[in-house]
Amino acid sequence: MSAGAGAPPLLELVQFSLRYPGATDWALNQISVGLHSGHCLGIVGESGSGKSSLALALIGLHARTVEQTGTLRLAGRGLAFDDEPAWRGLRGRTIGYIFQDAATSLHPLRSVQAQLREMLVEDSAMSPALAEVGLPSDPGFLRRHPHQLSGGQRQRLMIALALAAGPKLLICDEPTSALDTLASSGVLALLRRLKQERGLALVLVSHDLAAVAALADDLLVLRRGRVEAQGATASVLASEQAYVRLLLASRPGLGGNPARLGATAVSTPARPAAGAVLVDVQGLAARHADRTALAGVALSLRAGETLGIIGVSGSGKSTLARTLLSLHAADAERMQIAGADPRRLRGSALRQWRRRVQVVFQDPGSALDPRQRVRDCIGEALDLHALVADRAAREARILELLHAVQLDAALIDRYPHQLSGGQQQRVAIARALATSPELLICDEAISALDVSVQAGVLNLLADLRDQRGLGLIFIGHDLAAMSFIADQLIVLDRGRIVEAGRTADVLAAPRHELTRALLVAVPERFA
Amino acid sequence: MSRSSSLRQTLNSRVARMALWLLAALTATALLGPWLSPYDAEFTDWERIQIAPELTHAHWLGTDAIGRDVFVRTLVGGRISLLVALGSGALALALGLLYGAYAGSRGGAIERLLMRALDVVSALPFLLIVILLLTLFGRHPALLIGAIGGYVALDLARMVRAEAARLRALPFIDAARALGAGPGWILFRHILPNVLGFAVVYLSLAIPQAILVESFLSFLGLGIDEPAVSLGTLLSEGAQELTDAPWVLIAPALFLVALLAALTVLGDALQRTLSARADPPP
Repeated sequence: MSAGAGAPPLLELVQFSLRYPGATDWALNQISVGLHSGHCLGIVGESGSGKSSLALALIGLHARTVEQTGTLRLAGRGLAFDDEPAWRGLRGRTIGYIFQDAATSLHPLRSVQAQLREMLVEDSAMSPALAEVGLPSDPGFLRRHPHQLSGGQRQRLMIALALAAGPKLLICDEPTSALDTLASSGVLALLRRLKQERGLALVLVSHDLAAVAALADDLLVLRRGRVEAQGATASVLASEQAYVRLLLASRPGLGGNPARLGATAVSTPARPAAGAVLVDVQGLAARHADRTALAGVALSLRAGETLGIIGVSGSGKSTLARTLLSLHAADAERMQIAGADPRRLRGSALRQWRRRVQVVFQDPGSALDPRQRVRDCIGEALDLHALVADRAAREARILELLHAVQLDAALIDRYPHQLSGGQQQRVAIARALATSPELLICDEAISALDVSVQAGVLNLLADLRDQRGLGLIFIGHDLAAMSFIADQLIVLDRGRIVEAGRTADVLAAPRHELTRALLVAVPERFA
Repeated sequence: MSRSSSLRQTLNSRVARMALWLLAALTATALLGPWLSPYDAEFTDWERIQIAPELTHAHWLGTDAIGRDVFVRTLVGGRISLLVALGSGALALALGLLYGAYAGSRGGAIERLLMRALDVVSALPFLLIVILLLTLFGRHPALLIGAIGGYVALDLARMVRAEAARLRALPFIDAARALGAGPGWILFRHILPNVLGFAVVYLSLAIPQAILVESFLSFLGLGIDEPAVSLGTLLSEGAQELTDAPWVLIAPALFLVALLAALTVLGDALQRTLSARADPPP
């Protein structure tokens, strides 16, 4: 379906369907794809779309109990899905595979060189292999263990390991989803170079259509195991297919964003003027054990406004969130948050202050108590501060909060594991809103969510800010999301502020090199 | 929904269901069985001393060297063993869970102090302490329950501490703190409910161990005092008559093995469902 029509494709999958044992529905339905050497196929879909099931099928890693039908041809040779000996000969040598989370895919007790030695015939091949993926090969680096590497370095090492035996096909399952914007654009650039220089065939699986579109020659858009759109990247991006439009419109761009994201244009309330000063912090410093995590940080925020804090992993963003919440000890020249200095508060005064400052964390899966139903999770905030008189009032208030975060009231009896990621994050927001806070701190609140779900949560946060005059501190690593939601922007690097100003000004004329690098890393907006 | 569904999942496994039935049957026989027999556990049948199991007389499993009914004595001994297991299990759960969860949820110096104290207690020789206690206060079942319960609680507290410390670092605890929850609230509303399932599974594997320890102590003559019997004392008596009357040993031994097997399989199945739920499928 793209260039190189003469030769047979390296990988060809025809009418592939897959069903998990015990399920009645097909997890994948009638999928046909072809891929030539030197080309990249992007597989895009939300969680539960079957994209990872498809990727696993391409390397024959499904259990025998999984029902798979269809034809698979690798370099023109037919291959049965359950022919384990044949697959074993292909894995590593012909097909390489990279998992989303390099931190758990690498052997935690082995150094970089020990991992490489497992794959390479000779030690002399080590430094070229590392150089190819942009990693140093000095003895110090070779002796490091996975926990001493950054997320981007780990993913590069994974790629080096996958490439060691010279595969012709590399399957990458969400290779950049666990990385911050900078590391992620670096890894994507590396994949693009490998595709061009080695003539590698790439399968790139992701939930982020815009990120994949920059690299893929062909696209396959999946939803609930069915093909929504398929074809050359440019034609899919230009198509009027409703789901593709929704995915594209969900992603904010740099500037020129609509008041709310998504396909449907809704009338949004005019933004009220900013209110009183909510946060006034000068000279904030914090330590982690014996390391300086923050130094000389100054922030200010008015009610009804959003302050964006951006930085790469390890820049001190989360420590900043925890110090502002008074969950982490801090030093400051001046610290006025929601009308008080939390460092001077004790006992019930501190409890009262906590009511006014709330938080939403990155990973909603671990931010909700797995043993609490939605009702008790939200109700807990009400119980702690005795905000409701009786059970009926409690129930009414919980339903009101669920409504405010656009969740179905029927979900009230669910446990967190019975909710999707987006639903979990909405419950976490409802819990934070239960005490009617004045300041809401969102610590990477959308990073763990699918792009289309991110848009919903971003819209919700903007609504809450505008309707309730909430002050919002939005911490993240995605400049595009910042451009949508933040009025003021602070760029944090190694615990220090390197750039600050109105978001539009910072984006239009970035002064610091980190800001410029982050700007370049943002994928193009196609909507 | 989740907790009962985990239980239901466990019982859906055929092996686990069989183990549960076996456990129920053994418990019911131990409780009701002695009434069915015309004999009393301490009654000496001078007419029939050391007779083999036969259906022609009412000593279904035979009699021992002084003419006591093996069937009744096995079941009465089983009762005591079950009582000791349940009692020490409940004690271990209460002690170990609270101690471990408190230490793990507080962290810092409190945690270190509590755990080092636990290490000191663990370092004491268990048998020596038990012998000392039993000689000082007499061989009372309550003392035995206390000793075994405390022994199991040591390990349980350590496991629960580790799990609670893991939970303490998760964002939902931070979220609770940010809502204004104090240490007590976090312990009782978040940590305890989350480690309870974990502790119960550990306990289901520890109860067989408690039964074994009791039998062992009784076998050494440190357990239940005459005229009361437990499986351990029966085993000890049976061992002395092994050549003349093997049935005196075989009956309590089979009961003990069946009981341990049922409990262990059940504990295993519980653990599997719990660990399966810890990492849900993608």
